[in-house]
Amino acid sequence: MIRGYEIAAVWQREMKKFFADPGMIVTSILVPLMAILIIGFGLNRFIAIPGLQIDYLDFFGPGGIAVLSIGAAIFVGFSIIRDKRGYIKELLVVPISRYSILIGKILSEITMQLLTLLVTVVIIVFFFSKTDRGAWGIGLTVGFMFLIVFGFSGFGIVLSSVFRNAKSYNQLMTIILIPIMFLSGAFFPLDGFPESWRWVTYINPLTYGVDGIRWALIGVSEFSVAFDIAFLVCFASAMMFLGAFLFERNLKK
Amino acid sequence: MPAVKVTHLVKNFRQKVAVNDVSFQIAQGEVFGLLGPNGAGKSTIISILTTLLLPTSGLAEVCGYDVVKKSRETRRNIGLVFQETILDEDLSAFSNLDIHARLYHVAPAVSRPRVSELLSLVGLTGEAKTKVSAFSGGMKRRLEIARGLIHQPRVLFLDEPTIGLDPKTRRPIWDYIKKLSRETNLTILLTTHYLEEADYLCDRVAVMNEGKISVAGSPKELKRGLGGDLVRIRLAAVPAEFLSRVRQFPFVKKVSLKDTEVSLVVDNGEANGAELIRLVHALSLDIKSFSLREPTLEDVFLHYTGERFNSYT
Ligand SMILES: Nc1ncnc2c1ncn2[C@@H]1O[C@H](COP(=O)(O)OP(=O)(O)OP(=O)(O)O)[C@@H](O)[C@H]1O
Ligand SMILES: [Mg+2]
Repeated sequence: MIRGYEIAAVWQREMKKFFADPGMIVTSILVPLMAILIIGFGLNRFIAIPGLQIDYLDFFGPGGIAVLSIGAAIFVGFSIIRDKRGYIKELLVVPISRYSILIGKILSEITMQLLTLLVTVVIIVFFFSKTDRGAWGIGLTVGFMFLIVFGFSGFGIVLSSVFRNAKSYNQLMTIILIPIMFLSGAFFPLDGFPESWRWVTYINPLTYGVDGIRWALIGVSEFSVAFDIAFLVCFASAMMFLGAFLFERNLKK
Repeated sequence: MPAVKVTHLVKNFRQKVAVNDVSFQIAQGEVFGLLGPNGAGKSTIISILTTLLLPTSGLAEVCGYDVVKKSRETRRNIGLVFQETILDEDLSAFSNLDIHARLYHVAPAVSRPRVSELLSLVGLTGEAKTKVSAFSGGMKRRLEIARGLIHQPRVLFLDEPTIGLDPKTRRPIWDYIKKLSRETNLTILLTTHYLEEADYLCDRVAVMNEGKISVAGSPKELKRGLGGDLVRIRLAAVPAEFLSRVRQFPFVKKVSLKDTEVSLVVDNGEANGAELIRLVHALSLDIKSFSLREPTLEDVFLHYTGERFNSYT
């Protein structure tokens, strides 16, 4: 049985650790902000998006937000692997459900990601982007970020169950994340890819996150928003169930 | 109802037999020590009793709950200090304890005073707000013991509570443990490699070797079980007559000779040691040294774990 206080306690531990480390907070706000602004401004002059009357920064901003949301995928898995050696044992002798541990960790990661990304989103939307979609656009963006973080957290948990040490986990994560990031349409439009490569972008869950956020902020999209949401919800649910199953199975050993 | 009851417990790791048909009981309020060389299976038994590992076969009960079928009830009633230090280093001592209390659903109104009380019990009141990463090994260990007690468990498991601590730091921890067991009805199962520690703290100990319990009993019983006190006499030369006369004493249990040193196990060493010295004089032998000591738990340990250079074996 999962109880609210259990999840809250696990969540609180992670949040306390996060706020105990001001350097971490500053980094996690500055890094995404710098990445988006540098790439966006840097390429603004040189790149025109064919068929659209918008700056590259406006095109890339929403995509960048989506790409940065998957940072959670790395962190949740990493925090589970880090705890695997130590603190997880402490949590396992406590009379709480193992699923509470998992859910608490994911929710705390989502909270941290959303808190820091929200700062980024607000700065980008209000200072640099010509979006006129208003509050509901930002609301929808946060919704998409939530789905992306949820789905890729599950993905991180799946990977962390397969790998026992942080090194091989990091290596594989890097190898997997590169195509996910670059073949998502965040950096350049999907129709720029050769026909034979298009299928990779279609099975890439991040593609739908990028597409959804781009529609929310600048009203441009490849797919319908309903389809974007449906795809991400399916992806997130599948990853969560698989992640929870593997997490539980690993603990029994 | 015993606080801990283990019957025919077996744990295999693939080919390796870590715990091999172990049975023992611990009464409520008792301090019980598990001794044994590295790899004997002590931590494995603790992991099974604390629901971290599933046994291969056999039964284990804590407070009357089957640790496999009633793992949640078991967990509610136990506290555990791991062999390795497990703390949130980047949080303060207070936060470490506070989060733990929340995990056990102890309301802040109840937990706050208890946290302060426990911090003062382990002498860390002044360090409540300090990050654990700035703590010394002894402070961390004390904090872990305090954490294991927040939810008022009925059985406390301490896996090498004073590992790596200097004798000066060890002593106060012993005193906390002794005080706890005296003042509350807490049952304690501890493992240790420091035999003076086991002797000082434990009502009963069990000596394990290669997954089996070799012997169990109170430290006093076990020491007495070795047969007597240990006398060593070194002579310039050891004539055969001396050995045969020594063997005739009814109080001499065992005689062994190495070079010119005679080792004896004797009843009531204080009185009978004099008898032995008289014999040396009667034979006009040149005595170089004489020593007499009571058996220690270390002798018991070495005897039952099959150490070869041991006077008792
Ligand atoms: N997870 C595991 N997988 C495989 N073998 C294990 C595992 N855990 C313990 N063992 C083996 O089981 C045996 C008992 O180990 P255990 O940790 O219980 O010993 P111990 O008595 O606590 O030793 P120490 O005094 O060194 O702490 C050892 O031979 C060890 O190698
Ligand atoms: Mg051990």
